[in-house]
Amino acid sequence: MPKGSYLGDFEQLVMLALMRLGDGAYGMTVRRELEETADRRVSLGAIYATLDRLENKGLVTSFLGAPGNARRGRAKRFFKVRASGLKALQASLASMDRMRRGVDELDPLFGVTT
Amino acid sequence: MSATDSPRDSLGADFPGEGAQRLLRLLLPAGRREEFVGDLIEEAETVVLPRQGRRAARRWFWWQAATSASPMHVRRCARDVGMHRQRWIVVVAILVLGPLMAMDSGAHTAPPAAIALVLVAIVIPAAAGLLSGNLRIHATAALLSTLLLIGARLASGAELRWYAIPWIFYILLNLNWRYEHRIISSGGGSGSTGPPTASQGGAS
Repeated sequence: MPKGSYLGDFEQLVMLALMRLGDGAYGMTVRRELEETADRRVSLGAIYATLDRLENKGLVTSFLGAPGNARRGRAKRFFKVRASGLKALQASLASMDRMRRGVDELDPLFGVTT
Repeated sequence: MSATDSPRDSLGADFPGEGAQRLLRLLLPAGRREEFVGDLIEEAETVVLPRQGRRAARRWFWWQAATSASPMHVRRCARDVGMHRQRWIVVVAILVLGPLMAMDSGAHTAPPAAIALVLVAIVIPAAAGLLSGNLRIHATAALLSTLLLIGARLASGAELRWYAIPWIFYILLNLNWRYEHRIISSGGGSGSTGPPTASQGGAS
């Protein structure tokens, strides 16, 4: 995997949140997903900064939706994982998995039978 | 929870208000600020307000805005290093050349108060170059810098040739601005987002 496309822990979580949310992935829903599913309480600014970094790496794409009344006329910016992003996420998760294998104390936690 | 704290349907049609919007413009970097504020309003109103009431929702909104400012500014600076490498070179040049030129003018022999004014006069155009691509802001910084140098001269009472320094910085930033514009005009700029596909465009 090229050095620049390695995903950090938080980037992996954000990418997974985008994939779980599908077409409804934007700043607020990503933040809620991380809080409710991953138990990670983060500021919306941290989410935006990470999404911006992922977009700059070419792993995520974004587009503006229509303005909504609940948002006082402000548009939502939706995010979607690109094919290159999916590849980078798979590679990052796989490298983590390879590192985990053989660590006897962790195997039972993950249900791995040796 | 008091009566005024009771959950309501909305934070108000004008939330967060004119003054607050001006404050948010100062607090948050320009890129994607509107979408960000829209997300905050939506979560405050649809998630926090029904659970915890109006006052808590407003407090949550401002806490989020305040704690988000730092990561957003850090990210913006990090992106600028990649996108505006030339501008950063100019800023580093200002921070290196400034003290050297000031020392060449004899600033190091001046009283501490005058030296401090000279240092501030160097940092101001460097910060303006770093944080803004706007030539008016660069010119204002150069003007402010000149005034500080006049103050430094009055404080030291010495015959020093400092006044040209900020305007040399301004010329450097101006040349860099033209360079960046030429790159963008020729299609070499980065940072644009791809157009939405048909399947992406329907959400509101």
